[in-house]
Amino acid sequence: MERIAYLIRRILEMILVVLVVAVLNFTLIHLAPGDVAVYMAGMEAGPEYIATIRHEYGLDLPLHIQMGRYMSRFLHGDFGRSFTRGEPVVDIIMNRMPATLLLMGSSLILGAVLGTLGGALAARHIGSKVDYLISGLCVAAYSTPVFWLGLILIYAFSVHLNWFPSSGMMSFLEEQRGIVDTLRHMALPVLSLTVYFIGQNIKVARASVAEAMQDDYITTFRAVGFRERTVFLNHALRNALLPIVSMTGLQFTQLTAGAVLTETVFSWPGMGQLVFQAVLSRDYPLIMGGYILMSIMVVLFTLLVDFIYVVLDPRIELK
Amino acid sequence: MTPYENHTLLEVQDLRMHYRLASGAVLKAVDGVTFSIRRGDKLGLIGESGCGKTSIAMTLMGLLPENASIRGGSILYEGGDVLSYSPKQWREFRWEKVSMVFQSAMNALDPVYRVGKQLSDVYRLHRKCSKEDANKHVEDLFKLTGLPVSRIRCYPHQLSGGMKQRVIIAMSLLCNPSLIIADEPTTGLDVIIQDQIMREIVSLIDQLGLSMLLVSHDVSVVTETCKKILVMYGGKVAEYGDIADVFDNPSHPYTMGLLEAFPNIQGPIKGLAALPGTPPNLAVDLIGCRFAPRCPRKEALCEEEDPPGAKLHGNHVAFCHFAGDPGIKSVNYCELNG
Amino acid sequence: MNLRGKGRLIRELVRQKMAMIGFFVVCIFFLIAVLLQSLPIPDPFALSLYPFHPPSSEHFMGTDNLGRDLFSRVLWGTRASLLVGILSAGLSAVIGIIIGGIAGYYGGWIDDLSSRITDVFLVMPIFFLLILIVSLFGSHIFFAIFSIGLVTWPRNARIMRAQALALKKRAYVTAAIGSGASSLRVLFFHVVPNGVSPVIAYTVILIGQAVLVEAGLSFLGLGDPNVISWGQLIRSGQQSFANAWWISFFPGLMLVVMVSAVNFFGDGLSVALNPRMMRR
Repeated sequence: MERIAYLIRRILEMILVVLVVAVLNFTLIHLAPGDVAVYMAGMEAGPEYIATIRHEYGLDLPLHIQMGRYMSRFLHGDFGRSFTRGEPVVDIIMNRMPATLLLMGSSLILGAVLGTLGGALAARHIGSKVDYLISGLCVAAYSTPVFWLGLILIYAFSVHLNWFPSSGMMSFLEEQRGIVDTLRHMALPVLSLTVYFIGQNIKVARASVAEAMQDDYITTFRAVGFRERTVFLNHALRNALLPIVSMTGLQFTQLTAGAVLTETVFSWPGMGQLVFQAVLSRDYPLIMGGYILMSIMVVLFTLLVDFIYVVLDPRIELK
Repeated sequence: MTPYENHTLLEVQDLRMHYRLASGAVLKAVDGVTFSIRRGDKLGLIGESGCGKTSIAMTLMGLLPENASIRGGSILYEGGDVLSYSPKQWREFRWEKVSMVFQSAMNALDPVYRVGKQLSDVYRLHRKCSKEDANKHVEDLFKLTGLPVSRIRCYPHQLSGGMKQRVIIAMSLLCNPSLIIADEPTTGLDVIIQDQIMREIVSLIDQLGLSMLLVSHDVSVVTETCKKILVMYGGKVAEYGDIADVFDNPSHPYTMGLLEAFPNIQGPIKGLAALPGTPPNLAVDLIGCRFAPRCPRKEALCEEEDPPGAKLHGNHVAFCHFAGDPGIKSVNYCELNG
Repeated sequence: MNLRGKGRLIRELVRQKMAMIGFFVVCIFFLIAVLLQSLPIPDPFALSLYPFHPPSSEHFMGTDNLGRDLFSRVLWGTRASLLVGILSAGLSAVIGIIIGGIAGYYGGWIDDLSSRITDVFLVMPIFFLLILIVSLFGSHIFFAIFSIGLVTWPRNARIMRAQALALKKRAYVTAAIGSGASSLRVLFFHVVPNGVSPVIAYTVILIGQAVLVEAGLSFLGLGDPNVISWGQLIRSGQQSFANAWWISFFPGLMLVVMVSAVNFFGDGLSVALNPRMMRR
């Protein structure tokens, strides 16, 4: 079937992305000024440790052999060892992955749902003053730096109103932890991350719904006697979903950027904050590992969205 | 004007419908149109774009946009006043008594659902029945319209233009209506298929004993398929009557122009006549005959007074001051064009 | 685009009120950035005896942790943002036009290769890549500009490619080829100028995104330490936000204003270049 062929091709493309990321990592660290061994071992490392690293990674060998070894390690899931924490990079990062997924996932879903609703509403009242106002607010929303918004939210809702905690994912005391506690901790970070995406989504949804309402089959289904609400939900909105889902797929990369910044502001114990700390301590294996694993995550999410899109649109074909 | 017959299905009297434009002006899209359709009739509604024919079709189906309003006249279906129907009555009328076949150029089907599902959903909206019964009915209609039953589970983009049009036809027949409004049903199809589809439509209409209102800008299609013709110009009726009468004795200069513009393979070779001028602006109040600015026979009277309907043979009526005068027998547009 | 086309474009553009406001605001920022030294504002590096001073008539935006006038520092930040935004977007556009134009016009392996690269970059987390690059190679501002430009050209290339593909069949292209022009000449003197409009529209929006990316990098401490930038200012006010909210607040507000202005202008440009879509 056409649609399965399309999905297979997408999977192959995504695999290529991950491979390119791996190659980029390798290339960049070798292009950087200075000794690769020092990058991998850390600035503070003693000469014996540096020599060990040099030997372990074969950094004296010709480049193409190094690349081969690197790719082979990569395919086995060995992304190096963090010198600040002394553990394999993969383990450290996978430990932090769920927290980031929680943050990113919530923002994505919330942004998509609220954005679609807002856009559909705006499409109903297109051209009105309210519409202009909403559109203007949307532009401001995706022009706002997420970390600045985070700081403001902390100040307003945490420091002043004390409604929500200002950092972390759970409370310090064991007995306070739980779902509600985590939700309370999530509120502000998710909000600051979501505002950006609601802005983008409302814009796309509004145009998409307005266009779908102009389609010919809307007339058909009104003519046959369906109520306006049914026509809107089953036909206009259903077709309008396609560009919205497409857009969501493109938002993952921005989501990862937002995640790093938000986690830093809120001290959220996820991958993003980890990478930030790695940058501070120049722990390159960790930085690179973060880049790779984040790429893999984006790839997986993108494939998921592709899958959803193929289910929604029967017209997909191999180009 | 039209004799009331016992089996009159639809009677439209002096219908007036206006659009309110964004600029505030009022566009008189339908300005006093009268016609009737009996059981088994096939009426062709013909005119240029903007003459009001599609507006009439939309009015009959209750599909007018928000800025449109009925300003006068009546629409009687089997004696019932359609314009004062309650929403419940509209639900029993629309698609049950009168349905529509849309232009094939339109994307009249939703691209994300299978065609069989779209049809059975419509059927189940009107008749409470199980999915299996609805599917069976859809299958029957597929067979009736000449569609392979295997295509029921196809998506619209997987069907050819002709097949899609047959699906639209099948859709119009779902609830056994008595009147089918066909709005330019073959525009956009290639010429060979056009002919085929049109003949299939007519054959279905005859087979099922239905009536048809064919809206078209193409004289040839109308003359081949319809028994009565209503020529519209500028929102008003120009000429109306049985096809034979109108064709043999066109009495409105516009009709004459239309018929002359249509090349006749059997007759003497004439130049192709094009009607000079442009359609009138219906947003402006017009005095006198709408067609006067383009009429080669116009006189002072035409620009002052609205022409009354001149009764001719049988049903035949023409709205021209000089209708029936032997002098204007055949206005030769070819001469005018040089 | 001929002269008549340009006139119509300007007229369409002026009709979009928000776009003109956006353009106006960006112009003001531009003037500020250019005329910085001549402006009657205090020295942004001058320490004073009044750190953490709230906004007052003397210091419109208050002072920071070292007593430096925040208003002046915020104005100085304009320069960094505009520099990074415009230059990196410009670089991205130039590379994108060249590669996309060649890919669309010539097709073949160049097209396949650039399409693959484009697809890869669209899915890659670019911010992470930039973090890696800057932490490896240093945070000099021109390096940041260079990196952002190098990482964002693919989308521009895709737009240009689509245009080149469509335009290479036009009559004036065949005419130019027929009159003996070399294919490169045809590409860059005929195809590109006529197809460049959507690239320009996207590049304007890219300016805004580049500004936000730079701010993000600066906030994380990866910005050029010698240049005053808004992201850096927000970072410096982070610890003391509860007591001296203005230090982080005003630079961020400036970011919102500038990026919004750029986006409004970019949207208006898109609509003016293609009036068929998104008509209210």
